[in-house]
Amino acid sequence: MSELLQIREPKKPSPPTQAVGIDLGTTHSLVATVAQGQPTCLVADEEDALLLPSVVHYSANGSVVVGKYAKQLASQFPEDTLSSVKRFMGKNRSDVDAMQLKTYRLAPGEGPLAFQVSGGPAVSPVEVSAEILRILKQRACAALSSKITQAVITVPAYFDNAQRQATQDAGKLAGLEVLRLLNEPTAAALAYGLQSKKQGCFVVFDLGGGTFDISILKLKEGIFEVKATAGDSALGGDDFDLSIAQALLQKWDIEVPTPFQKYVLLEAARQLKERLSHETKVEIRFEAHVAEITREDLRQWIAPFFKRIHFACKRALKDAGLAKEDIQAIVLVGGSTRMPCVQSWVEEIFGKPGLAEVDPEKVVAMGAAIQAQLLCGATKDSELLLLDVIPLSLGLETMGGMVEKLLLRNSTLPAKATQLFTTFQDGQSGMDIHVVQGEREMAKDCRSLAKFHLKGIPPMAAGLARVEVGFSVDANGLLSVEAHELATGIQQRVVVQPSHGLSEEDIEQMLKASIRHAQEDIFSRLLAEQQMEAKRMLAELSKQMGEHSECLSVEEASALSEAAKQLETLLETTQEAAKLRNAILALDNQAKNFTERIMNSSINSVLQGHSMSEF
Amino acid sequence: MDAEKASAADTSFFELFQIEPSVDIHLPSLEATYHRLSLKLHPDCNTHADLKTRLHSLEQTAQLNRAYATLSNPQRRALYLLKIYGINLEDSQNPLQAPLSFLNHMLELREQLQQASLSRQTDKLENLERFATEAMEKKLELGCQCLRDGLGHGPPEKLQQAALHLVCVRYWQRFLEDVECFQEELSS
Repeated sequence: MSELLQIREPKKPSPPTQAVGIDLGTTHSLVATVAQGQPTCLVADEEDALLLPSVVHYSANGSVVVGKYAKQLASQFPEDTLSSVKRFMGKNRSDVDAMQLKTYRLAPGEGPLAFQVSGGPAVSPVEVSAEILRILKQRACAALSSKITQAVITVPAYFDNAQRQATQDAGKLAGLEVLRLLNEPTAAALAYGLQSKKQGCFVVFDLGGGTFDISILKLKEGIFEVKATAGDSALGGDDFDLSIAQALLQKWDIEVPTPFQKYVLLEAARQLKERLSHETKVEIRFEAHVAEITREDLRQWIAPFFKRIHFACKRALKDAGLAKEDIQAIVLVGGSTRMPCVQSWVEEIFGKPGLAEVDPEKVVAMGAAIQAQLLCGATKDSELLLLDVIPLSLGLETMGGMVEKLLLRNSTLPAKATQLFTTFQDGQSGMDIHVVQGEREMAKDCRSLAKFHLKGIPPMAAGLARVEVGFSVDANGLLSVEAHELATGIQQRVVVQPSHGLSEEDIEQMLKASIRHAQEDIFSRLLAEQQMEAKRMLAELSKQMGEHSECLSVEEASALSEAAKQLETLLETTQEAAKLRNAILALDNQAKNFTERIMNSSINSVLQGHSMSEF
Repeated sequence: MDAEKASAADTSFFELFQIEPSVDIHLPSLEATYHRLSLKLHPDCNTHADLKTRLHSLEQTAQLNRAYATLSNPQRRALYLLKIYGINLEDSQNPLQAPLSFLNHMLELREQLQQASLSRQTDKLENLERFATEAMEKKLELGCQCLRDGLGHGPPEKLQQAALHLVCVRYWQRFLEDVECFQEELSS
């Protein structure tokens, strides 16, 4: 099962390439490298800015704008300008509800989460993130005058498996080899620890635009050992802005109908929040309304978040087996830690003020750069090692919907665990394996990661079969699962991928499409995408027709072949993406019955969900 | 359980750290060994090695991490020692029952826990947490004492007693996990 753990092939000596560290943030992103032994942030946006706003604008003419210019377009085109997409990474449609003040248009229908934008098809959060990564990669290439193919990308420590997978997919889509998904607080600790050369136990308190993490680390002679991590992957400055906006609406007793007004109000709320970090009271205007807001008002409005933060900090201390007196220092990371109110929370929880010796907005990217340097093999094997943990327990659903935890939260990576299960009915021939992530007792309260069905258990009395389920979590925090029946050796392996994740083929296809994308010409890009799609479909159809001819009558087969030939001709002659698209859809429709029959003939049943009644 | 059986069982976690199986271990030296072995074995410290070596080092590191997690935690260490001496509390086929009086006490406390969480009394939850933590630590110490007396050539009934204490420790632990879940609910 080890080959599932995505270990890279050993490096051959090659022309100098540099690996970079990327902080892919909710509100802004950075790219950094190690130059002359020092981690340094590179220019990432126009006018020599190091911070690239994580904002992507999709124009009606099909071009894509990222960063500051995109942000400037937001007030004019609030619906086609996407910000804070990190919050949607690895999420289902059902997860997205509380964003009532946001201006996005969700693409209708079932299927993976996507946003409607002008100038092209709906885009997924992974694709939007890939646009940001692509720009960072380009800027880094320009700044370093060298080719960049490898990167360490940071993620909130509290990201679950689906969110990590989505981030890795975005990296691949941007043409990057993701050396590691590094937890943001761990990255910060690495940069901070190397700079300060201190030893002992530290807390990294990371409150950014959209996520909150707390990690407790022990630094000792080059080993950065994460003792515990906790947090909330949907709590950050964005939520403060929303709370402020909602409080203002209530105060003035008004409703906000248009996307433009929403945008203006949220922007005003954000500015209010930022100005209150330097001033004690600030006047805010929105249309005809005016109000004077004090720090105390702000403190009250965001007070509900304190409870959640306090709980996470307390739990992390407990899991680390430490009291607050054992903590040497609290390192502040993330833009939201600039707020005096947040700083006072930190002091209240830990009994001492937090430190911001290294710029809280750059420290994560710098740590990522250091780790990239270590992993790309540019330095000799060093006496420096990061030992990180899994943020959430991993387990299996057992009888009655209960969860049996195989790996407890805060287990050090890489981690493996196995557990034996047995059948509970005489002659039971299959077993459903449902993998979940979370701390709750009942599977329905945890995050479902994967369901698969182990088939072919030989008939025997209940309780005699021995099914061993093994979990492996790699250094990126990504899980793979394997199950086998010990008597017969029947074995199944699954790399856990969320249903809304991208397959390798999806990524490859999108990657090919993105090569054209560099031309910044939407028409050729759309055409290229459709050509790719047509080719893929033709290849797939001919393969399936070869393998499953029994699922087709002679008439159906010849009709399908004829339609395929037509598409092939069109593919070579037309320059119009729309025409090609229509032909693809028509063929897809015509082949529908055929593909359904194949599906039903059970080949793909391995990953289908089943009821747990057979377990 | 006799010593013969103990030596035949899996003592690999202790062997990995080159220490004798024992209730009491010196944590700083355990940590030092863990760090030393990690620097040697961890795939990230072997980026120049070939693929096979690194796959092997991955397996070994996962095993090392599991061993360290087990030995560095007094409760897990005690359970592991019991397992070495032939009493596996994780074996669901053969569950060891806690004393009835203890179970009654637990039921009573669980009722209190329900009430405290329904009426959103955070201070009550905290009191229960403190109470349960102390009770768990006390039980764990009792269990460890029995283990100390029973290991090696000690009387076998001591091991049974240790097992009973550790079963109770597990009840307390689950209770504390539930307290935490309720606290989390109240905080959001």
